[in-house]
Amino acid sequence: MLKTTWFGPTTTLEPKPLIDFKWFIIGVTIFIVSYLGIVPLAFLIWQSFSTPQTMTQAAEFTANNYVRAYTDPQTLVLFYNSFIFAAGTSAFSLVLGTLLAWMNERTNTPFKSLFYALAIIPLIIPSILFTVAWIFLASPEIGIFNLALQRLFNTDYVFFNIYSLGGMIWVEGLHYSPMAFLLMTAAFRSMDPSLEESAMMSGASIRHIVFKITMKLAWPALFAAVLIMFVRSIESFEVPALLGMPAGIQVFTSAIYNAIKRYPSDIGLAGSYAVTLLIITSIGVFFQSKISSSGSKYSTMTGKGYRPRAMDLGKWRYLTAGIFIVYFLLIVIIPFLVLVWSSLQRFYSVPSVQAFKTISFENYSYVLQYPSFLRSVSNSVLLSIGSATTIMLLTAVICWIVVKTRIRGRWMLDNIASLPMVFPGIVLGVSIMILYLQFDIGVYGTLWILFIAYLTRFMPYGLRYNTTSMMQIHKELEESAAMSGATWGTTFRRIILPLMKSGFVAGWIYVVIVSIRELSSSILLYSPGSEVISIVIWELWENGQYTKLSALGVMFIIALFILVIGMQLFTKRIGVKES
Amino acid sequence: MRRTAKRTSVVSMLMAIILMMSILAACGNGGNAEPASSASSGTETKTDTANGAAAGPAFPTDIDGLVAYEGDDRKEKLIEAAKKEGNLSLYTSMALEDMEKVAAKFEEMYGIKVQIWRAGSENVLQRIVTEAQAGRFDYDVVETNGPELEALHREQLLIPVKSPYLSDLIPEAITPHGGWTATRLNIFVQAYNTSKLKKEDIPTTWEGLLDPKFKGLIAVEAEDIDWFAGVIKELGEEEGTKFFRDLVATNGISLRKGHTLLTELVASGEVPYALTVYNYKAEQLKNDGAPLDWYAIEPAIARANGVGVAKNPKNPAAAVLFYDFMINEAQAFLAEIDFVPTSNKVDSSLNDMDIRFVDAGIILDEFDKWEALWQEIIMEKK
Repeated sequence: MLKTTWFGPTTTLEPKPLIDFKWFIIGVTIFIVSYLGIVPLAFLIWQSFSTPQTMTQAAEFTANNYVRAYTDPQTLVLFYNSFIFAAGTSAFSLVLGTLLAWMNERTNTPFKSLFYALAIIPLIIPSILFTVAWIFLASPEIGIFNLALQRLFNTDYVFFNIYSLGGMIWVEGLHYSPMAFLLMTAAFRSMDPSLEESAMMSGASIRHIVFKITMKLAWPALFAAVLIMFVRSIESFEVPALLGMPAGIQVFTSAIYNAIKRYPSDIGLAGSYAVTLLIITSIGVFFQSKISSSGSKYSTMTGKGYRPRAMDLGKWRYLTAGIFIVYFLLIVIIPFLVLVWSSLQRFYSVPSVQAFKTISFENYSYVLQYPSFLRSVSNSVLLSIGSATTIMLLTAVICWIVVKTRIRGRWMLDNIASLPMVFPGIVLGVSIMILYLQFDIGVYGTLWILFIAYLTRFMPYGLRYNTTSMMQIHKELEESAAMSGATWGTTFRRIILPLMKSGFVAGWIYVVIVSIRELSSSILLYSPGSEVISIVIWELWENGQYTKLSALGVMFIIALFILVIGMQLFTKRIGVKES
Repeated sequence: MRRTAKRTSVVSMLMAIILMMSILAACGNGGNAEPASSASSGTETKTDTANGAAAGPAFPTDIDGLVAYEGDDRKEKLIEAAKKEGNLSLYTSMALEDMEKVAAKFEEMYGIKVQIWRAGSENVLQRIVTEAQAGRFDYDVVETNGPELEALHREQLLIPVKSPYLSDLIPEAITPHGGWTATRLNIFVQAYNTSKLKKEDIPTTWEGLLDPKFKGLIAVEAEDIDWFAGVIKELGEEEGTKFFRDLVATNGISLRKGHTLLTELVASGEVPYALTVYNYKAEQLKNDGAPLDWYAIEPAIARANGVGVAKNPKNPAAAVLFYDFMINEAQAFLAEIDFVPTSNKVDSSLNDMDIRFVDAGIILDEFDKWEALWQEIIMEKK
């Protein structure tokens, strides 16, 4: 199947001089991305065949890690739990994120202009805080929802139990829904509505249009969203640890975590578990490459002018507005208020008149005066903006190669750039640490090593966001630019990047947020002087300063919220005019 | 023709990368030999000072000489040498807020700047071992949990110090090999929510917990395998195992990740009774007015935290001085900020409590056994 495309027609964008600017950029990008992707991969595979190394005992070659990992009957249970959890989470957040994105981009629902930034809030909240906020909302013992309903109906009945597989899927799904939302928004935003309009003219119902046209055109984005959310939820740690463990539900990540935590640290065993994730992701990327090699099937952005137009829902728009409002109250505002409430207290207690009297802003001033707080903030801002921008530019070139050219082996490139997604953060941290300790080029102990870690860790996400948008751009636009004498650089800068704007910006926002939150590799790689904000979050959490952490979370949400709105306003002014 | 050009470009890129990887892997192998070579350079310096010592009663400047020096002028000479070094790099798992206070005391006393790197104890161990395998020694002193210090000792990364202040400590604080020394204790105590449970209902023996009225009320921290081993050993292995099996069967034990979360959950009423919280955290919340109280079913199990000096410190005198400081001057201050110090000279509210110490060495040796049992009884509830 692939073979035929290797020998298929070549692109019209051919190099004219011997060493072209285009090939230089492409070469450098391929080099950086392969370097970033292959280093941890080689480390992971090498480790998975080694015994733990100590001072007195050198590492030896072994296949025992695989035997131990995959012959233990308990592994099957872990796999099963993880699978259900990840499938449930990705399905739930995909439906939620897609519905919200569709209402926001494709319909004339009232209030939607406010929505984009608000919908991202669940992603901004550190997952520990988000999970604990839901314990306070829906635990059988002290959950506010349960207490309120029990009082209302005067019963002891437990309405919600957050300590269950359903509860885990709910919390994780809500937390990840902004990821699907961002991806689908980008896809909808750069979709030419003419097909939808013609269907509407021909009298198709809204349901019909949505399922037969809109969703089919958005298929690459849907697939990308499922792929990354599935892998992410298999990897996720907080929700299974805080909600699954009390209910006796153990998942895959607990096995990885236990293997690493012991002495001597059994990274090999953890690695052999992670190989399964590696295979799942590779299969996913392979299928996605089949989608992208299906040519211009999904490109609706052609030379013809278009403007994305909202669909008139008629009276149904009150329903969608209702969904917005309920979503906000339930998912965004209430957990946020729980945070605000606990940030004003000395220790968490169920809201009451008595507790109301003890309110103070002490926690806020505590956080602002925290040792190295300001330095951590500036390091984090620098790192997240730097890595998000670099990642989005790098992966824009990569996905151009993957989607628009017929270069042999481009599927491998896509896969290499996607694989870091599956490395447990701590394994990635250790591999980067070992590399730059052995190969001392002066990055160890500086901000640069964190920068490299973030690039590696979040490159796959940037790639998925960019690829989705890239697939929507028809080749004829580049071709006409080339015909008119534009160089590749000019075409890329003036045509492709602006057209990819929606995916590029969505991915940028996503990477900024997740790199500010990144902890598992940062904790090993930071040094005095290069502290980041996620270390402060972890520190407050470890010390049980939950109420102070809430104060930090509240400030965090407000700051990122402003950043996202600012980014929105900024990008409205650049790139293609939309109306 | 053009197609070939493209093909070669990607293929050659990948070849170049693979080549580089193999070079790096080769470097990796070379690097492993480094700790050995730096150890030998350590011996070289030793001979240097030995020559120096022959010339007159000079104070040693290398780490091997410093830790062994027992002269009367030890303290003043140490301060003098440490001041010359001016800096100290400390890897720790003590809460940053507390460690900053301790370090500030040290700075105030001796004018030596302390650089703190703080992470969880398993990450402290991981970082030191990884750095050492590459021949990098960025830490002068390490302050963390007992089992991790014991592991560092086994990795031959710590050096015993002949300090005159060791005799002030309780005997359990001193390890037989001297590679590290306990400076403070985390004592596992039991905590309960005072609005959900009454003081007179609280059991004072382990068997008391088997009363069905505690059904669904009990929780434990998800990784307290050393506590679990300690209680079982105290009750006798057979009886102890049976006790935990019975407890899970009659009343159930729910698992929570993190001691501080568990304590907070007791305060909020989510967990009415917790088996393993740290005494100082429970005390703090109680003093803040939370509806929580704590006590210990004796003998209480204690986990030691301690301090150890690096084998190849960049600032050897400052490292030894800080070690002395932690077992001597800092002890009273540790008690002030709610820790349980190991010095006999400092009065602690827990002095009359019957305490059993978790043996870090045994925990490392028997970890697999206890982890399997914990997994079977507590996690999978078989």
